[in-house]
Amino acid sequence: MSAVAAPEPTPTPVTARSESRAARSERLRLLLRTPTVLIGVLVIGFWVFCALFPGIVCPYNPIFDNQLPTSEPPSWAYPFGTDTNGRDVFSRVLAGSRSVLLIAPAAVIIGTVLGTTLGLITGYFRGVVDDVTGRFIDAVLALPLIVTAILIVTAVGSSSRWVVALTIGLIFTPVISRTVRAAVLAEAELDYVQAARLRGERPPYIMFSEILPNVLAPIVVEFTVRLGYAIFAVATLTFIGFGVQPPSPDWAAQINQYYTFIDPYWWMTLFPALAIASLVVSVNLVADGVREVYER
Amino acid sequence: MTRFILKRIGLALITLFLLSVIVFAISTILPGNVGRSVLGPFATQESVDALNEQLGTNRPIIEQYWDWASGLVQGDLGTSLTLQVPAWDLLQPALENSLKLALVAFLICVPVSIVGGVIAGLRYGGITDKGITIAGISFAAMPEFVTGIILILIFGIWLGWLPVTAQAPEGSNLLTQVKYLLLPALTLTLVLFGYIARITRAGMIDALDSDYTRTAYLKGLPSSVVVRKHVLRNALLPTIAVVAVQVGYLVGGLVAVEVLFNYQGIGLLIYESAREKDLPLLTAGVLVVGIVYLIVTLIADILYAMLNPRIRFGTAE
Amino acid sequence: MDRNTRRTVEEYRGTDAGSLENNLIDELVNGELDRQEFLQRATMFGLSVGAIGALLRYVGEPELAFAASEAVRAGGTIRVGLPAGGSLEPYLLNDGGALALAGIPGEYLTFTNPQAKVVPWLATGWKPNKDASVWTFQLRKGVKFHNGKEMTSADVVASMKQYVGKGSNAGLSPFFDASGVSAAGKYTVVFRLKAPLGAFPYLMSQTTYQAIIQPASIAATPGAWVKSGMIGTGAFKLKSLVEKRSAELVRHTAYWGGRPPLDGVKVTYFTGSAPLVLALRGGQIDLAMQLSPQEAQPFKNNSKFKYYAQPTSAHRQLCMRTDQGVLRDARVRRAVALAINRPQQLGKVMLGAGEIGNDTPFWKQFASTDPSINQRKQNIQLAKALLKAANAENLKFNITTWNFLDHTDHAASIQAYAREAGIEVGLEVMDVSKYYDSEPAGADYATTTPWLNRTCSLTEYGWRGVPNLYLSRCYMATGDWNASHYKNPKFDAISKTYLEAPDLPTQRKATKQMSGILLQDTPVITDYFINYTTASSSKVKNYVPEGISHVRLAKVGLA
Repeated sequence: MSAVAAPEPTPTPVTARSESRAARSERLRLLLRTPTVLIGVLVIGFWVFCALFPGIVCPYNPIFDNQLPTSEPPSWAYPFGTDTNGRDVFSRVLAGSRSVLLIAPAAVIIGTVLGTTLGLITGYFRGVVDDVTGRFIDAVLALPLIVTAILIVTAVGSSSRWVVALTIGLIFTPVISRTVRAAVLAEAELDYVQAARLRGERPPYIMFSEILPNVLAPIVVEFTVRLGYAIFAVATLTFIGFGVQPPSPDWAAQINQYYTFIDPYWWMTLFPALAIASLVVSVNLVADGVREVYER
Repeated sequence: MTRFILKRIGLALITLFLLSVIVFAISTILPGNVGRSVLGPFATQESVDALNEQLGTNRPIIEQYWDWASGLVQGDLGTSLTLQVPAWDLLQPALENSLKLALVAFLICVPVSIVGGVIAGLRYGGITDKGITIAGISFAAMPEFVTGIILILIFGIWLGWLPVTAQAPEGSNLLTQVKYLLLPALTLTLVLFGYIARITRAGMIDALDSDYTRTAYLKGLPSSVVVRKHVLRNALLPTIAVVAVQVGYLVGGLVAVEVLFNYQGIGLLIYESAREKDLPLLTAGVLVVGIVYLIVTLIADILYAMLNPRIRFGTAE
Repeated sequence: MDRNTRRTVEEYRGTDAGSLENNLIDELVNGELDRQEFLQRATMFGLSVGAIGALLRYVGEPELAFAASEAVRAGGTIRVGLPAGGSLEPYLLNDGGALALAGIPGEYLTFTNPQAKVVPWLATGWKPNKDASVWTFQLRKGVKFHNGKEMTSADVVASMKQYVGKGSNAGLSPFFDASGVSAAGKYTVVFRLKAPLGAFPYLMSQTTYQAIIQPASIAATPGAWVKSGMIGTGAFKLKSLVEKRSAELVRHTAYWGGRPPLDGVKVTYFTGSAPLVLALRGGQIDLAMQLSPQEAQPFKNNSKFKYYAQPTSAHRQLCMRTDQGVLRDARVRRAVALAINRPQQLGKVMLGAGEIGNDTPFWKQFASTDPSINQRKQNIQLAKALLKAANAENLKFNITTWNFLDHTDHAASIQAYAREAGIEVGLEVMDVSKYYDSEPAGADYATTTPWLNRTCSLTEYGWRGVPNLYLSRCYMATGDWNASHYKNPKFDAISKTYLEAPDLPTQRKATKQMSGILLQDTPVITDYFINYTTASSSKVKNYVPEGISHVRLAKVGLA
């Protein structure tokens, strides 16, 4: 698009050739030895556990247990206080992880699948296909993420959480495709690709069976980086009213419902907010670790 | 150099055209019932039908796009459905407001972030570096509305130092307007700090590590001169690119912040028009945001080219 | 009783009183009406204050006392916060924020006060003909528009013609058309209605918020009011307007109601309730148009703020489809209604700011409400028995609503109560633009929009002085807001009797019958009526909230 770098810092294309098993498990071990990555994994693991087994971790039912005293500040009985409906905020925060852990990864998976496909096509075929697609991508990237999201959600007419996941996935597609395209460009010059062509293999085979395994590294890095952004984006959309609606215990939906009462009932907003922050930080820590390991 | 600029402008225009097509296409996926949108859900069906007849909304799409596009070129951005006033009448004050906020945020955020990044880079690997990096990551990890809410709570309500809405009353002087904009600007600073500081830091590390820097030191130049004259210029190149992109975000992407602070900028207008299904206003607003972004990146590219000797003298493209 | 009074009354009976008024007086004398109801009826028929006083003395009741308002200092500009709204053109008004702003410079012929009595405003009196199909209104003399011209019948006629015209949102065209309104003198306007309507004066009040009286020259062109500066008769005139954002108004020194204490009004629109609440809290506005009871609660015991609560007939309707789906058996619907513990729900969701309802639109303070109907109470056993009898023991359905004020909390509470009776209720909370739109967009509105077509929907209805609107549009088969698709010819016939009857006994009888039918069929659960709540800074004096979102500032002052 321009002489200037792409909108976000994409990692330099990693030209990792076919990795041996040993190399891969070596990376994994390195990853697990980085303290920041470990912390990240632990926190994420905690939230995943809460999402899977709310019955075990929640002291009260986050949706139906609404006979508690209303609007109580944090105390020993209710560590995060209660909300205006007489529900325990602590239980709701724990249960709220499920919503975001379903939608954000779904969005990133959609974006990665579509983006990888698009990147493979544009990187392999080059020429007109690449140029035209590139211009379209430029046009879409001219809009801030949230504006595009609002536009799509309005056009679709529904704002269920799966629409949100699809929207965010679609929005990430151009950026991911750029990264994949860069990697594919480098690979396409190499011998094994030429060999496959000479053998008479058809393009889809070449793209998906030959090139794809060798560009997995940047894709994995992109995936982990985008995950943080996805959580961000899903939370923002939910907060402004597109996506999961109250009385879901989803964190951003809780903030949407209760931030009117931030004075004096600050606890109903603060704890879901910290939950979001903790998840995004953890994902970013893991993403950073992954990126460092792969760029070594 | 001129060829480069012309080429860039050409590209921008093509992108703009494509953007208009995409935006228009999305807006027509949902034909909607215009009369119903204007009159609301409680109106009788006969009034809705009467209004639809009056407005005449059933022409072929290509014709509608052509009307819209040719109108655009002449500066007519369409008419708001719910208010029946020209879209530009609503967009112009909103755009002004967004630019004001972007400017204040920019003036606070960029220097602070760059300084943070430079210091982190200079003290690479040390405690200060780690501290700045971690602070950056933590704040950047919180969605902007979360940061905003916390700042509102602390500075607006508990301490009462700053107003909780960003819209200064009509006719306030410059200082008052800036005071009202401080909280959102601070929010944005915290959000963007990590990102910009990190780029600057990376740029610093690369530049400090490079040949020309070492040469400069070997020549016997004092550290401060080296940093100022050689390192900074090269370190800041990627920063400019990144900052340029952020300006695009600062003008149109602040929907959540504008909602939070009830600031009547273009992000809020886009959000409202989406909720009201006021499609002409929505598409006009989105297009304006896209145009601003394209202009800003164009300027950034030119700036970058002027600062980067490789491009200036045509060796890299 | 003294001779003078008796003479006044006899005189009145003989000359001015029509058959309706005589009826009324008979009822009062025979003890069939109590004082409160008499006042309501009497004002509706436009009896002068003098006549009312005389009549009350006639029956040995103490005279009316007129409330003295708080003494206020003149000066100051009040800052009001309103929720963002749409068009400000009177004939298009359809949301709270817009009507609140339009209702500052704009005024109406009559006024429905908080006690649901209709009182003179721009009209000083009104009389029906024998069957209440023709109404004659006397206009107040000397009312000056903001442009200096005096208001006359020509202005009223021109305005009304616009409001029954094409594309108008006022909902007046079922009652009269353009040829039915005419001037009969400089200060007299005659309405020839399509059918008799006892409650017509209510229809000319601020609860039909579109019916603002504009100058004839502006009213002649629909859509010209805002552009010409919102010229009306109200206490404040428009100084500047930034669409969708803010407005500034200044005192109308020639206001007919007396010089307003305030110098001016500054209005700011807010998107979403949170910024509005925070702005009030942070002292950036002095008055919020409306807050939910939960939002208003923190302002209650705070000396820097004032809390207001006004009982109104506004209520939420939980409409259940009677023609199809799992709720079409009346026993099932009654079971759902019986699961709810109304007093407890009111205390929890609304913090007590309201009155429990009895699944009818008949609010306690409507004169026509018969208080002898039994109040439905929670009865889980009976609910379960009904479900069993209807073979619906595994009942499952969704409540569809939108995310506004406490709708979701209300729905969640019904969900919790239903669970006690073994009913599984899911919540489908939509965005407002989806809830009130066709589905898919572009399809026929009436048959596809969620709020009118889902198995079970929860919608809020605003305040009115009489239940006519609710009956004709929500319950009758021909109603366009009939979300439960309720079709009961017997009910419709009684409702028609009610709507046309101008006298109280007939109305009461009809109401009692209708209540009985509704309790049996229960197409709609109305579990509570809502108090209109809001808050202001403690500097604001003399503010009385008005149930349908208008902000009445003519007598307000800032300490």
